[in-house]
Amino acid sequence: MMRNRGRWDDCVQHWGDAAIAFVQDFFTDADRKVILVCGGGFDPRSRIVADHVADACAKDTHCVILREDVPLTDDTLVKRADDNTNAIQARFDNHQVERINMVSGDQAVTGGRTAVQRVQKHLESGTTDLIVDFSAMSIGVAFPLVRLLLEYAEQKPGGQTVNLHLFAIDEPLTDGAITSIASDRATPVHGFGGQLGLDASRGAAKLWLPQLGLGESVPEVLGRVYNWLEPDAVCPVIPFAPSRPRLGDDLIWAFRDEFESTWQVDSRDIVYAHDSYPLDLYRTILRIDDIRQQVFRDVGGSMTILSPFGRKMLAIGAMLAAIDRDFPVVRSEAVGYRMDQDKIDDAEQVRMVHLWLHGEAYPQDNSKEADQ
Amino acid sequence: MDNPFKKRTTEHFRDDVAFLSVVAPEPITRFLEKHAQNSDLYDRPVVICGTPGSGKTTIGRTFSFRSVQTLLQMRGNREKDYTELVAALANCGVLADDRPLILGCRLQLESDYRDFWECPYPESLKAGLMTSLLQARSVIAWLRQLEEAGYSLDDVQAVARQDAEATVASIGGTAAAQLLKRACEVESALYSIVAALLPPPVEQLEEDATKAYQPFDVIEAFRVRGDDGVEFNLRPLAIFDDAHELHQEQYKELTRWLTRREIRVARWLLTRLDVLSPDEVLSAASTDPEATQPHTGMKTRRELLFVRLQGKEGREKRKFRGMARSMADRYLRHISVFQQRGITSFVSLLEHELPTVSDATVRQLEDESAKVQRRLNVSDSRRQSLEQSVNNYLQSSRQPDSDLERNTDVFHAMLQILMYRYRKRTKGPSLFPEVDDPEPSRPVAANAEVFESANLVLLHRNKRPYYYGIDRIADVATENAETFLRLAGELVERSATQLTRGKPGLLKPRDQNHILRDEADRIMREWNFPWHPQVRHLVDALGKRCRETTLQPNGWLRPNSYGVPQEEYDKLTASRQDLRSVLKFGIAWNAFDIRPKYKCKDRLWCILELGGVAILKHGLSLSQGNFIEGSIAELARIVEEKP
Repeated sequence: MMRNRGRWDDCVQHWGDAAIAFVQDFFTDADRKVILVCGGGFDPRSRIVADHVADACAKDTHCVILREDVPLTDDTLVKRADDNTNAIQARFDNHQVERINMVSGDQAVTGGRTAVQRVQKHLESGTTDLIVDFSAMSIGVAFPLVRLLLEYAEQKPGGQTVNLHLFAIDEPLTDGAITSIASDRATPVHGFGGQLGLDASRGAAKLWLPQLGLGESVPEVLGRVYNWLEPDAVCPVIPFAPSRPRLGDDLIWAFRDEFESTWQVDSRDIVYAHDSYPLDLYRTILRIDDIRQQVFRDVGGSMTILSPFGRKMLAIGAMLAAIDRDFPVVRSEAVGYRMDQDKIDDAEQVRMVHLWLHGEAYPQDNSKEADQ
Repeated sequence: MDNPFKKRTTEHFRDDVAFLSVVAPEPITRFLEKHAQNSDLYDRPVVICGTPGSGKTTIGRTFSFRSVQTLLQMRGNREKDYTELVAALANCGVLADDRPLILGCRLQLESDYRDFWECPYPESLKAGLMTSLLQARSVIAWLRQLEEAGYSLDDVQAVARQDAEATVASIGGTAAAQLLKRACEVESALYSIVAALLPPPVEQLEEDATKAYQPFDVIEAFRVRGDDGVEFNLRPLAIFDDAHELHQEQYKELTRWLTRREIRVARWLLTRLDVLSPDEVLSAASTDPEATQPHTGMKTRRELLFVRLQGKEGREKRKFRGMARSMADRYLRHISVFQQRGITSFVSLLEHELPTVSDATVRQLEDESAKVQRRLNVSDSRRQSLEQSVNNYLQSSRQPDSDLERNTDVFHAMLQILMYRYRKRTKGPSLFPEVDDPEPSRPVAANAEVFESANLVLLHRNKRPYYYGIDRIADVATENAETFLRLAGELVERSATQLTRGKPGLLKPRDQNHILRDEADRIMREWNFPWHPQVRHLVDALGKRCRETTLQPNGWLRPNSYGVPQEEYDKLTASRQDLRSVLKFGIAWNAFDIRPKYKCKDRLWCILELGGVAILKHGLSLSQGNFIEGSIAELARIVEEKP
């Protein structure tokens, strides 16, 4: 079956040394005026992208460091976040730290909404390149932020083409070492509500694609999302990882109760996705949605809902699909973090990933250049 | 095995038939019926409050029109199963003569509504946008349910209040189709505001979002023509579930708005205590129905009706035990392993007789008693009189475990406690043992307290089962349906495994005790709510202290609570922000409860009662009343420690 082309099917991307070489080559151009938005978090990956960008064009870059304040985080992690924030600040003359309260006093998750409002103030015409470093940001902040910057770039402020680059550090062990304490509420990520809950979409068959992850509380958290969504079908996303071939088995075992008792999942429902290549999951999700749209066209339509947890690379794939098709993204946001230092110490060689989401790499005649 | 107990809440039963088959009528009868008879249920706003899993959503869903309609359709097929539920709803005025009287819709107050609070608009505008969305979605839900029930919108008409003709046009008129169309337009306009990445400036808000839209002020009823051509009226009921998702100020605004006299629609708010500030939770946790609601400043019973699903109003254990049995039996019928074997009663899975104590254990206990006697220098004659007291108690009491043959261990444990008590009341052994048999300052005799202490000592020392049998399982759930179902679900699963292996499904007391305590430990480990590490740390610290006191050799106290002087509690000020937050979420999530102004030793105490799960994990008594004395400073110190 032919599927509709996705906006980022032919996305320009760089990996590892090629991504570093791209930064060193592309951003050293003196005409570039760059805004870098990165996270000043405890995540050991926080500084890497900022360092490379600073090496290339520190003078012409305005760095916005988002410092996510999460209530249930221990002092060691807060200290790490301070250190990383200070280190990033030291690399850029023109910088601004924006502190984001991820959770309000009444425990509502408001980080995403606050983040876009803060970052929007930094957007000014004349900017040639927007860089988002996904590495140390929570999904609740990164998703709306990328959407905001994409919408801004598409408007061509001042009639000028603005490039949007997404960077991330791919390091599975670090993802696995960080455990989040989830909020007790399942909510759509800010700006990713789609048509969820509207009367207009009441007849749509809901397909839920939760991204599975290991961790004691993950089944409960995903269970919370399931209860809130009440989907008609569930297709869990299971990463296949060359570095950990048994990960899929471990995940299926961890979710055996959900598969059998509540989600009614069998082997045909499982979506496998490469855990280091975001566009693999992106394309898979779009293909599934295309098929369902045709099948359910005459009986109320289909709604695909995503719930990324765990691996950052897969979350990026889910985000691109959600932006492309306006899929709802529902999660229980983190209200605290724990980190297993031993696993971090075992971290393998990190790899930088670059996705060029918008701008001069694509034909300029409309806002969806990558389609062409 | 698909274990419905493990689905935990009735939210998981998406199909209405499956949902109704597990709904027990008792909570409706117990908490709502009396208010329906006073006509309070639909004339004034009702706030139904409870911890997670206490049954708020089940009640809300049962009162929805869809459930009532399904119930009426099923009556003919399986009348026996639903008679009680139908009767309970009829007593609450939901239906009569096979026709519904109430058009209930349940709306979850999810993040859409909370998000209005984050928009940079004046508070009155934010509140107005929220109430407009609530009204639009209520209208949509009422009319969609009628459509789903098979009524054509052409046969449905809104009945407007007599003096509201001027505002009828603003809600789209009284014809159902127009009413629905207008509600959808308003919903769409309002959703575009909260769903936007950046909220639009006030001056750019769509007219559909800001124009006056007050269907709750206009609609009194819906007139519906049935298949038989007979017209009947339905009174609309809006049930706003999970109101704790709102910001405190929004909740306050919403409550105020719902108490407006213009509103004719029946309206309920279902909420956890989370929505309140720590101070408000700490006072509301124990508020009596007549008290002022702290968060709204309104007098209950006059302006709104406050129903608490747990706590003072319904603290009678016996009623919950009946409800728990009924629930468990309903859930059990959904499991094929039991269905096939004709097992329909949960109680029939639970063995309640303990095995006879082995000879080796008896010898060991006799040795221990002899050692205690020697150590405390208790004369033989005194020991004999204490033994007689224990024997008399065990023979005369109606305790379930009082069978002498099976209770040699309890006998010895009680005897040892009495020997310690005797010695304490004679101020220690004398320097002249041969003449040391003084009379105690107060008589020493076996009683229910000694029996309980002995059982708890044996639980910890000899692993003698204590938590078994339906009543104790219900009691440890502390009137929380979800906790009960989760605990019972583990037992059911073990029983089903035994049956599948060709063994009897009956669970021995030892297995019940073991499974329940393991599950309690797991539940506490899986806590995942704000401040849960601190709450768990506090509960564990208090549980440990209670256990240490329980195991004192003279069994003087069997605490499961912690008391602080009332005057200290009353001064719990903003300087203890962390402690207040921990207490708030502990109460809201059923980790413990607060009972203020408890009189003991000529002093008023505020008692922090541990929840059933903590009691189970730490092996404490289920009886109320015993507490260890402490202070706010000690609680604060525990909270400040690293969990």
